[in-house]
Amino acid sequence: MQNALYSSDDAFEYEDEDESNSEKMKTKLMSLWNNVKYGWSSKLKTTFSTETPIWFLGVCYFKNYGHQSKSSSDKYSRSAVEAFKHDYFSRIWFTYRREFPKLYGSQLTSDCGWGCMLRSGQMMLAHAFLCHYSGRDWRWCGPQSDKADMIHRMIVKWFVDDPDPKYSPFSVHQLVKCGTNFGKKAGDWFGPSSVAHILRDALNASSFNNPVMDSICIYVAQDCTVYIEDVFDLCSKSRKLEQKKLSESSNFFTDKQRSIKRGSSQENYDIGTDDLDVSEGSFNQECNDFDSPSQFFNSKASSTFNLVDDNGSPSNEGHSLSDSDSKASCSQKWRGVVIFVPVRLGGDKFNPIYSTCIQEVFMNPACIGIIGGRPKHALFFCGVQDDKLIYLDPHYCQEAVEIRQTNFPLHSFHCSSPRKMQITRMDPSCTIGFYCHTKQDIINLVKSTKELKVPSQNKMDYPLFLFTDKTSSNEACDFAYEEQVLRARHLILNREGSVDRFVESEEFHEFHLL
Amino acid sequence: VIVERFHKEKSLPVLDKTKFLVPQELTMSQFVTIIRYESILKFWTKRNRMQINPNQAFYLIVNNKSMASMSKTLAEVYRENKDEDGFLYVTYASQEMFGYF
Repeated sequence: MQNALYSSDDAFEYEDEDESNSEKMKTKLMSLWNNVKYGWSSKLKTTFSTETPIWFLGVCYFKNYGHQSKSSSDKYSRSAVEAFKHDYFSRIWFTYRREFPKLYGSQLTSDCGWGCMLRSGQMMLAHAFLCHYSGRDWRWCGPQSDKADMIHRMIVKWFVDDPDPKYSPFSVHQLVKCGTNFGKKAGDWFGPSSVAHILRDALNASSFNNPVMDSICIYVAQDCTVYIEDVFDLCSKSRKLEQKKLSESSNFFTDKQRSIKRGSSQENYDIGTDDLDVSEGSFNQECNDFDSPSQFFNSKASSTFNLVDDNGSPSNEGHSLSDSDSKASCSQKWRGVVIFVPVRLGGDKFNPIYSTCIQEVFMNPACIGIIGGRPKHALFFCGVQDDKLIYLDPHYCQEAVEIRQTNFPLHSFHCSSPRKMQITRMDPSCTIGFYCHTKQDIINLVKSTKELKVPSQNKMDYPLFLFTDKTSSNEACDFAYEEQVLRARHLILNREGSVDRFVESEEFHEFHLL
Repeated sequence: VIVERFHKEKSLPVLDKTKFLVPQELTMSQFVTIIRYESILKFWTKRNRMQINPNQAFYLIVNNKSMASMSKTLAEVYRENKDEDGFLYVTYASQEMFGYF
């Protein structure tokens, strides 16, 4: 069945190539096809056993777990699955979209067929934002308080397909733009590690636009190693200070200009905002285009305060949604941190020795899921039951939603049918995510992953990833090695010690000495 | 130690040097740094249009296991994973890309 699906998929593509100008038709057909496929598979309803626990983003759903009152255990076990489904439904779901504004540097108006990893990354980060601003206990149940609704909409808005970074700093448009630093363009396929870096860059670029975001930061592990000191460092300094430092070092801002006055004119409001989200390096160049850097600074600041005010943010509650809070964060506030760890769990195939580790990841309270997938098919893994992973699937093409209106519909950003797949079908490439709100959370995470990271049945330990106390700069290798080559011949000797035969060829092997 | 490129790898270049004699006490993290350095060097010499990015995903895989324990020495890894012919085979790979119609 699966094969039949693939081949007719190819046929579609082939026919469309003949009429190259029917680009729009093509996306329509493609999305129709996607949805047929999706509809076809969603009819096979996933069932969840009540006999084994479901672990979903660090929360356990099971009949005997964590609840005191249970009148009838059967009734409760069913309600545990219901509670899980409600939690699943509350997670923000991003899918392929069509007919959104053109992407940077291309004619594409849809991400069907290539953007699935970006969508998965968006889902993971959106979940982290939900944890950060609303807490892990938040559930979406129709009518909600103004504040909850405001945060919910704010987060969805940050990710939808609006080319303006002021509204949507993590839209596909912005992510594709950040991707250019990694040699990616619209229409390319993305990997879980590049998506992690892209999300970090997007956040760094946009926190400038949006002081609300200054209370959270992203750390991406290099070589499967999380340097704890580096994480602490990142959490304890405000991004604004970083930016300031950056500008000091490059001498763009004079002392006078650096003193920022909020609420001044917004004349230069729209200039250059589109180019903001590239790298820090090019950011400095963008600054050059402004008449005065302080003007630039002011326009940024005031725009976001308006955004917060317009939404009627209740002041001083929540983690840091108010003006005064963000001012405080300029000095010493501890920031929440999202830790991404890109890993590769095998060469050709997922190595099953890691499956217990993966299961345990979802039991960790700091877990915000894993972006990975089946080979070539990106998914956002968010839970586990037995040996099956529970995921949110971005492969469903929906029409883009216009978010400039205040009460835009939210239902297309939530998915009501949880799905599962065998853990062993997972592609070895993935990025594991954690979210830590406080310093203590980080310390707990480090402690709890001591057990998690070692494939348990295996005598030799090959962990998923590591935490190291050092900073990455301590670890930097400072040795330079000289070119030395040893030429050797690989011989096999017989018992008498004379040459039996040469291995491979008569040529010398050249070994490089390190 | 013999270093090979993963057979499906597309974004990382093939190295000129594949066979290395390595001091026992060299750690995996040092080894990764060297191999990564070699591959970056390769990028330069080829004047490849692809951008060299220090954040490029780069993994060493031995026996289908990812070498995340960076403090391990190569002697340990060798002991546990050497091939019948006496060499340690190390594969390097980045990450797979995802996309699907």
